[in-house]
Amino acid sequence: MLIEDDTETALYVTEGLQQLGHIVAWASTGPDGYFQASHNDHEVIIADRMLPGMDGLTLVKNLRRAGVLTPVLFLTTMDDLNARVEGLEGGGDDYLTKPFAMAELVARVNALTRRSQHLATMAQTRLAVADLELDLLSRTVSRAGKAIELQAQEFRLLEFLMQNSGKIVTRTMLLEHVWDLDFDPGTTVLESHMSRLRAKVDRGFDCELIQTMRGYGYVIRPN
Amino acid sequence: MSYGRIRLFQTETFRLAAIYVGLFLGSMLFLLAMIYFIVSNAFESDLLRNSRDDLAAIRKAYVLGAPKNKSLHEAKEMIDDRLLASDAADLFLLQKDGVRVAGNLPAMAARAATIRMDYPLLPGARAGASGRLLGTGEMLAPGIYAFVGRDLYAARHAEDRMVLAFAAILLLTLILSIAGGLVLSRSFVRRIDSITATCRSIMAGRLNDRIPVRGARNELDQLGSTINDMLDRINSLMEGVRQVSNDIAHDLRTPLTHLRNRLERARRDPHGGSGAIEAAIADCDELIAMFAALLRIAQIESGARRAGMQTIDLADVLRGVVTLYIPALDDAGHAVTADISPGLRMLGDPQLLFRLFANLLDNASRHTPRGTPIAVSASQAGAQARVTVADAGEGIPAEDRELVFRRFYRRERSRTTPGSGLGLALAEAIADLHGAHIALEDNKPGLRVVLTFPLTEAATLPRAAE
Repeated sequence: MLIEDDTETALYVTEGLQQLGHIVAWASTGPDGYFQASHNDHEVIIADRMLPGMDGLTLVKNLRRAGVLTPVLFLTTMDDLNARVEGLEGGGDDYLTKPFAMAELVARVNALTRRSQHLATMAQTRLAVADLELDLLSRTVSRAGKAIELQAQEFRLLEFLMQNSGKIVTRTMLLEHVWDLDFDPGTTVLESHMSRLRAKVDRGFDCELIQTMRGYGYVIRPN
Repeated sequence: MSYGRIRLFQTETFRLAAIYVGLFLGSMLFLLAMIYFIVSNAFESDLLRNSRDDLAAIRKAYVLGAPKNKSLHEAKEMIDDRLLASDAADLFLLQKDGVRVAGNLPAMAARAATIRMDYPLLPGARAGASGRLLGTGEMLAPGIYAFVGRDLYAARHAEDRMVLAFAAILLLTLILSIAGGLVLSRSFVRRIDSITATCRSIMAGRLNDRIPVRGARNELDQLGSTINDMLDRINSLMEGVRQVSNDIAHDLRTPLTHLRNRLERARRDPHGGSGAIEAAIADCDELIAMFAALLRIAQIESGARRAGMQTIDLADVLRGVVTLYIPALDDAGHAVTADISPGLRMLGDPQLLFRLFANLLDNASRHTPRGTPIAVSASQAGAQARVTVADAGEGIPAEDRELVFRRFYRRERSRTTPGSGLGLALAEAIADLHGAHIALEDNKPGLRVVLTFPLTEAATLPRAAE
């Protein structure tokens, strides 16, 4: 469900998502969007913060009050960190500033969909991809039974990848979730951490679990 | 917005002065009324005391005459004596069974009490007698009643004179107060008017006018000099905006031109593959990032980020940045040493500070060749925390050190390295927001960036930059 009043952006998003097989419903005003979102089931709601008739934040607050638990991704031109916190505390699940790359939007939408399954994995204390196991309680990692020593940052990086196993996570998502950064700290920072992580997790094994998707991000999955 | 002339009577000062005068007169009135009643009372008490004394004398005479059975006679004699010696203000009465025996009052109802009543004026009464008396009476014996009183004219006279005097005092006070109030409020209003006039002249375009400060070190002077400071700040902000607009116009033209060129090339050669378009998108991303950084700087400079301030440990933030960057710096051939003292508590925005230090590390890495070591340190120096990021690279010559803080400034040597030139401008904005000082020093060799932050005990909200 896309609630966006700017036609250009709406077409851009709709086309991009449809090309990947998603079905997109589109409303261009706040009240219209609220009606559709509260009466129909959707996997994800993408809502602009500024909408005619009812602003995005109020819309989502009302949806939450009406018991609609669908994950919400906010789109906005507002770059202010305060606005971001406001949006997430008001019931939103993720926040993307315009302009954005389609790859970014797609990755985040995918991360939000199948959320019920996601919640189930989040309740687990052990994550597994192929023969790689991560124990959240004891903060240990092992592959094929052999323990792997990871630093704190590397552990968090692997944890996030495994929580979204099979789905592409973008650089920005990683920077946000692992280091709580709202800016790009320089091109090689993430890559350096990633290469060290892969050296520990993948080297010496036939199957490379952590894969780079050029122009998109990273993903962990069995080949 | 149009301003009209305000009449003196509409001013706040006049209103306050009037209220003050009103209160003052009110209390004076109260005071004078009290005096009036006290004096009046005193007069009457005096009269009553005299009457009582006379009555006591009459009683004594009556009692003395008892053995000789001449009580009444003695009493009458006493009264007659007194009457001879008195003026017509003294009033006596001796009556037996309701019939007057002696005195100059007609018979009256016998009451043993203080009596205030009207009485018929006597033929010999003095001019001005009031016809009202105050006196006291008692029963000397069953059926025998004696009464002594005084005409109240004297008291009345005194009361009248008091009222006149007090009225005159009040009137005089009123006039003086009003006059004084007018004079004082006039001078105050004139001072305010001069401030208003200066502000209007500034608004009309004479931007360098300032409010005259008399040096009296009072609240008006404080107001005046505070407004002057504000005007100076506004001036410098405006100057900053002018400068930024120039910088932006100048420096964004290049990447925008590149972008246009690439797109034109792509248009000319649609079969040339996606290379040109990819490059164009990359150019766009760079521009977008630049704008985002500019916006962030503007937000920080306008103080919009003050809400994010919390008590933090600077050492924690710095350590976080270092651990984030170590792998990348290592890969780029820079050995990093960190000497960070713990427990540097201060008021700050952790996100912005993270960005600040990340900026400095990134700069150190990008502008020095492989193999250059980078040293980070943080320590407490008195009421401040001193943070340094030092490299052993080329450094920046002294004359350029001020300029590098300007937005978009790239030293000629660095024009080919990637980066928007906004890093240090952003760093300075963040430092300013935290009340911190940022300086570039010669690391002999290399560049050392030094930041001094106020620690919590000494921390105050940063003042507008001088």
